[in-house]
Amino acid sequence: MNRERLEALTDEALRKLAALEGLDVPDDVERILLIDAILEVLEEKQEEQELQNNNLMQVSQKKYDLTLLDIESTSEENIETMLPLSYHETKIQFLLRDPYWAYVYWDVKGGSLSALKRELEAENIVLRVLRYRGLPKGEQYSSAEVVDSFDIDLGCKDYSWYVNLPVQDTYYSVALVFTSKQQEFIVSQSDVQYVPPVYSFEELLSSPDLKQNSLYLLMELEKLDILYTKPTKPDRLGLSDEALQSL
Amino acid sequence: MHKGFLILALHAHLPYVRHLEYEDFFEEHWLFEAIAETYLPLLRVFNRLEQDGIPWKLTMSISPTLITMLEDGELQRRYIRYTERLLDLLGKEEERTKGNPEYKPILSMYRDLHEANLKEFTTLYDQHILKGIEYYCKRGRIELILTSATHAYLPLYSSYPETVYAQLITALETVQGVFGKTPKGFWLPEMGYYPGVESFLKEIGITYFFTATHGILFMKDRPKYGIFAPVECPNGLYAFGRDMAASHSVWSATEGYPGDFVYRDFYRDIGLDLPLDYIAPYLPDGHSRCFTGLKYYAITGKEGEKQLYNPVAASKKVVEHAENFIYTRTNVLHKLDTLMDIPPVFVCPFDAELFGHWWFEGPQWIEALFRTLSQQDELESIHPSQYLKDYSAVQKGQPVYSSWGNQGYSEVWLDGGTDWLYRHTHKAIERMVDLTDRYPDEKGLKARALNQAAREVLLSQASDWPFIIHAGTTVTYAKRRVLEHLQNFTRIYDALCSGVVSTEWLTKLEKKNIVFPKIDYRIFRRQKRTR
Repeated sequence: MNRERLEALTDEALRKLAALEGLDVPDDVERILLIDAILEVLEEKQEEQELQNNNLMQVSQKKYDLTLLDIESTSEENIETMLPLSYHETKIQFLLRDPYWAYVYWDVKGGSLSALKRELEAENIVLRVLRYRGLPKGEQYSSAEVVDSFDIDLGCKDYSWYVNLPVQDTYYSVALVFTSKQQEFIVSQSDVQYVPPVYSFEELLSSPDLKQNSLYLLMELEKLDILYTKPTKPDRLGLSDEALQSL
Repeated sequence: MHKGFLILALHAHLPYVRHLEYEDFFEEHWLFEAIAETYLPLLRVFNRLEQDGIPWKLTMSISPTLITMLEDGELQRRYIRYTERLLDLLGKEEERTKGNPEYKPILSMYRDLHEANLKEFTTLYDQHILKGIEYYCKRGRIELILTSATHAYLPLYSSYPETVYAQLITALETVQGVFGKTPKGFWLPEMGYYPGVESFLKEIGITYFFTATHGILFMKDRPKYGIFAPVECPNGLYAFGRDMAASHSVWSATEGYPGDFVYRDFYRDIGLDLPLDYIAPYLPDGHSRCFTGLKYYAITGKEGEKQLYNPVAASKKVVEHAENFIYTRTNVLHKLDTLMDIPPVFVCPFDAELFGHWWFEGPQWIEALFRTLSQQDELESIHPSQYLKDYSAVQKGQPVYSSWGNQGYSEVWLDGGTDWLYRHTHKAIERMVDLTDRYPDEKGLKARALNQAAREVLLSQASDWPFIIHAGTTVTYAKRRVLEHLQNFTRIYDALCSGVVSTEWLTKLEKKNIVFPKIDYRIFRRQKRTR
């Protein structure tokens, strides 16, 4: 979107775009000022997005740059809603995003958590996060290996969640569980996945072998662009404050 | 004193962008700009080095989607048209700036560049620039390595062995089809590694791959030589860890060489600066401003007016920067002398398009690097397979989940703006595997439909789409592409399930998304799941 493209839009379209970009526009604002304000917001958004990336990613994105801003408005259509919300199958998938967060999505037969909740006469739906002790490669995990777990309450309209993983260098899976006072129904459980360790500079430089420490110093570890501290909130659009607080 | 080695690895990749349904299409310019500013200038660098008898060793991957586009006759014709239009615009610019002689050296530089490009593209390479790469592979200068078919970011598909295998085997068949050889190395897209991917790599004959620095350093058994030597994985494959410090001097826009004030500014382009009615005939849709490739200013600095670009000053600086790169690596080499029993290796992997497209002087820097290397004898360029042949494994271990993306893992490809797409791309894989179960030995129309379904599944997985959405550049296009491939796949799936395939529609789709023409849908056959 650039100035010429904005100038070609009707007043109504400009106001709609401004609202989508979160601008509070007075009724009597001049058209040119409105365009300036929209451009400013779009440019700021672009800069913010660039800052979210490391040097390497900032440079990589240049090969897709044809203009400084998206030629087409990103707000014109919500493409992701054109795909089905449910495939009517019971499934849960665990995608490791980094050593501290996993993205989990799920689906149930019939497509509705509330319908399944009624059918099972359950009172609550939870996402159970299970931590396991490690097993030799090739052996299958069972509940006997679970060393810890915690539950996240789900609403009937939830279909995905970012899950905080409190421990690293361990194994996790997630399960979709319907609970009532009398019993629990585990409707789906993901594969068990290994969550890698994260080491600080100090840990990397703490070998009893001093020669190795000298060698590691030459790698300029301070340039490692690694997620070292747990983020205070997951990067998920549309997650409510209550949901964030519960994490 | 030990000698040290440098592995310079370039990864050339663009997603499959071919829109013949439009007379001119914005995103196709990604390819044309890369040919004009990166691929042809790099080939020219290789030719000059060869003519001057300079020894050089480069490792290079060219993604299968890019290979397909570079071999596509229609896109080749469009590149010629793009260059002819650019030369026409240059003529107009020479006329417009006639009264300002300070523009002359810049315009001459662009004229020389694009005239040479046109001549070499049409005459020397007969429109097939991969012939140039093949020539240097045969001469032992370039070690060609593989990457996945549509550049899928593999850690987010680790639960789907069928698609990991399909990505790899399709890539291998594409490279074998064009270059007639089986690469030994693998470029994991975005350096995205997950434990276990090496078993698929081994299956297709790969012996080594590259990882992010911490993919090696965060191993449980901390490697004695860190990233200065490869690590042998439990299955016998080797992982070369990226030398982040060396790469940083090239990647960083602020502290790295490309940010020097004398280099050409990437952003100031006449497509954005000059009056719209003047520039309109050269814009893909005739009215939306975009880069033309004609950029007249030097980076200059953040404050004040931009200075005009001076090609001579930039060329001098390139040599300084190449010498500095070798000086800093040699300094590290000296310090490593008492710390290692084998010659260290500095692994420097880069996106090829960094050189020339973003860092305009990048190809010259590579040339200066090899020329400077040839004038000293402490540091030498080497191919990974040669290093592995000469120096036996000294460190073993299991690399860990990692990437070279922001913060070292998967947030660039999995965030609040992109997480929605995995539910659908995963489902498409499951359905594709089901189709392969159901139709294990089809021929004729059904086989064509299944093959096209396989293409659409692979195209939907390109790491470029979530990357672009995350970066906020051509977001709408990226989202539309994911949607388009998923919808095409679903339509074929539904048609096969109902037993009615529209030949007309399928033929149209085959012509449109013609990537991997020899694909066989059975690459999606069900795989055994192991942990």
